[in-house]
Amino acid sequence: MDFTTSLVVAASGMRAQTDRMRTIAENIANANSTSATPGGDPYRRKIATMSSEFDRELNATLVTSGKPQADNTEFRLQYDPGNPNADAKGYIKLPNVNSLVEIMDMREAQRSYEADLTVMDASKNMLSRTVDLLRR
Amino acid sequence: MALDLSSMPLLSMLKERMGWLSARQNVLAQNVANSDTPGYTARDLKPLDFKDLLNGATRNAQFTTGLSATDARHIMLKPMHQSGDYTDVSSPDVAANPTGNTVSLEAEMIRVSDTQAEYQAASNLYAKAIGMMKTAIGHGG
Repeated sequence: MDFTTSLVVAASGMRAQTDRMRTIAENIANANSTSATPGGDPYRRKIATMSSEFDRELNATLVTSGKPQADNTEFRLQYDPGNPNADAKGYIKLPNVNSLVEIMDMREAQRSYEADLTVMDASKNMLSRTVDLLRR
Repeated sequence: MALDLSSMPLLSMLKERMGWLSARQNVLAQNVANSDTPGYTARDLKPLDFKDLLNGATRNAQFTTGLSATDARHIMLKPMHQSGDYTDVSSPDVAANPTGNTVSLEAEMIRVSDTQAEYQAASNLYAKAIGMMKTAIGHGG
């Protein structure tokens, strides 16, 4: 039980949020990635997952990011007969990415990351206070 | 009687307080890290009881000057309050959201800064007490 444990826990939270940001970045970057073959499936949105994990050595609950999971909602359809990858009826499938949802997710990840940073700052401050006792 | 800093009630109480705050900071860090984990319930430490703390501090002083174990088979008298055994209980900040998470970052931030301020107060008091002892020794200013 010391401050380094708090630092490690906060760092695990920051790592998980970073992984989540990466998944969100992938979704936003691929918001318009269509299939390379006519009538094929476009990019499928990924959902970042997180779970808590008890670390026996630290005696603390860390957080780990799991494998991103596929979002199984319907793809968007757009009528675009001129597109070489459109199906026989002239429709093209667009990814099931909603940029508003992604931006909300991004804000949430950012907020959690900042909270972890605040905890880290506070722990570091408390630690340096303790070390300061030695200077007197 | 040898001068043992940890046997002084004031210092041992402050040490206990700082230990508790450090452990609480730890629990709060876990809450914040898991603020997006589905099904995670926010936790907090049970508050320190001043009466227990005081009893522990004054009893400890008696015991450390009382019986001494000179053989491995001697049974040491345990101090009243065992330091470092803080229990964390579940204390949801808010009603569970649809994922089953009960952490509110705002509430956690308040607790973190609260813990930090209290720790600052305790460590200042500790430094003050040491300073007073130095004054008594003749090195204080």
